[in-house]
Amino acid sequence: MNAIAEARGLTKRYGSTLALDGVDFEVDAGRIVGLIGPNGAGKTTALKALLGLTDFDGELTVLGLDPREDRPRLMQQVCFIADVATLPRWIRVNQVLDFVEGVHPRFSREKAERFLKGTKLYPEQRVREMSKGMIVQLHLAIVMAIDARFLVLDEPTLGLDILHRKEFYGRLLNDYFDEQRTILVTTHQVEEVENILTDLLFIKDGRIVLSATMDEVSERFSELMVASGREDEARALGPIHERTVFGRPVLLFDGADRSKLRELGEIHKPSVADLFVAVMQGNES
Amino acid sequence: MNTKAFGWLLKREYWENRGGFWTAPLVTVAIFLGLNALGLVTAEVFRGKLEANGAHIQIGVPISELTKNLGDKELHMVGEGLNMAMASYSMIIQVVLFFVLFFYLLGALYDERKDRSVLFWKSLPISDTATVLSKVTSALLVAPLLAFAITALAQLALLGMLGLYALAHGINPVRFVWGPADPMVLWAHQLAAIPVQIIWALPAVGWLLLCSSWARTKPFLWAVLVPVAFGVFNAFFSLWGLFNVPSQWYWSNVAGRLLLSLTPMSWLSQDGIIDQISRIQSEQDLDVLYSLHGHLQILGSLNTWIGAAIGCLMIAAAIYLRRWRDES
Repeated sequence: MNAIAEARGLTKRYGSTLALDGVDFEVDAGRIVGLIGPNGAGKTTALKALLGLTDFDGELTVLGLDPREDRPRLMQQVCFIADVATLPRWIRVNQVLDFVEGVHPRFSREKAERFLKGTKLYPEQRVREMSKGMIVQLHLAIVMAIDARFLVLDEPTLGLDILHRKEFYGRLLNDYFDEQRTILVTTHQVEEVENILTDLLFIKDGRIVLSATMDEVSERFSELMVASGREDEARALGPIHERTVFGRPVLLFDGADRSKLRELGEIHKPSVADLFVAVMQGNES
Repeated sequence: MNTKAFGWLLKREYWENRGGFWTAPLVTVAIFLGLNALGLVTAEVFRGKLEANGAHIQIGVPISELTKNLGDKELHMVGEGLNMAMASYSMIIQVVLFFVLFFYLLGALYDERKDRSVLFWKSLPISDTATVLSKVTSALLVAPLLAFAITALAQLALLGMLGLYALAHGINPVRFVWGPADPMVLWAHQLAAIPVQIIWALPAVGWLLLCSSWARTKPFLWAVLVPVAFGVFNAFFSLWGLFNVPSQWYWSNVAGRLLLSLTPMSWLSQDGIIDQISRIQSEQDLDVLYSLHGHLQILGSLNTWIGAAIGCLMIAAAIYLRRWRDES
């Protein structure tokens, strides 16, 4: 079994709203999975269920454990950054390092200090004296110094400027990620993660609407910028979405024959953002 | 539970609450010691001024004369007086400790939800049980021991100050200040009160932690208003003859225990011990203050243990809420 996390019929109800509606998914080892969906689609609820922060119906195992039971054991192997700035504001850099070193058996102080060397943070500094970007640097340094198998990131760069966002994902990819580790990330800034993702999970209204590896995505989906005069022929092939760029229609196809499309215009690989819009709007009609 | 991790949890509580656990009592005793010192200095200044004008201040016999004639009985009374002065320092710090702990417990499981740092704490391999119990331990053991250490230091400083003052007036401080004073008895008494306090304060600790983990906003209002509102309704209902929980009993055994049993030695108000103290006339009566009788009496009462059990249930409920509370 290679799955780090596996959900079967995962369901979560808040009062009368169904946040997760019988969701099935699998996260395999050594992947970087983007869980992408509009606000209120159930992303955060799914992450909470994975992390054992909420009760649910259905089956869910993370690293072979039920996250509702024995959370402390699960959290030795799972790390998460939920949102920017969840570090307590009163704590100092050296205190948080001392504390995590004291309670986490897989934390390497030496590694964390190495990651912090390149930053402006100093040991006596309190979190409340830091900018958002610095808080994230500290949190990331702690998380990367933990030898965990599964890292969950929920909007980890929300509200950061572009330099810090780039640095965040750069570090994650260069200094942390390897085949032993698995990352699940939710974000609104799809453009910034699309180059690092290996898998996509689109979620909408509590259901998974697309689950594919990036390779499968480039196999399946193609974007056609239609040559003038060929619009009707192209539309006849059943695009899942249409938009207009510089006055020319751009059609997105799922599983269309590329040799046919090539005759009708230019073919591109769709960006994740465009694909996301297409899948989300396509499902509505 | 892993003891090393638990030690770090206690340290974490101390880091976050050093202002309440350490600085507040320290500043309080510093202020009171300062006031005492000012009093002594002021007395000296006035005496000096008057003597410079040729006046000779003397009330009765000179103090240095007086001390020569003190017998054992009188020395014992001097000791009692000094002990009372030292005990007043304990009481001041205990009042401070009550307020510190009250607000510490109300914030303990609320503040971390408000600033969302609970998400960081929950990303670490620590159980909710260990976390909540570290807060209970901080309130019932760590903070009282720190308060005790500060009290003892303040009492020693007071004795030192009075001894020096005596010395400046040609009185032998060893015989008349440091000899008769008996801080050890006070300390033993205060330390013995800590384990009793742990049992006695459980209903308040449980109630405040429960409010802290349950309230979405304003845990203070919930903690105070619920028992008070219930008491008021109860008074009306019993007027209407609907049901009759005796008011007096409710206020002292329910509302009082939920809100006030954090006050160290507040059990003395039970079973008439406070009345005994208020009737203190002679020095023998003072002994009630130092006797362990009140401690033992309260540990022997069923009331105490029922309260403790309810307190434990409320702590368990707070743990459950911290584990499963899903605020979205």
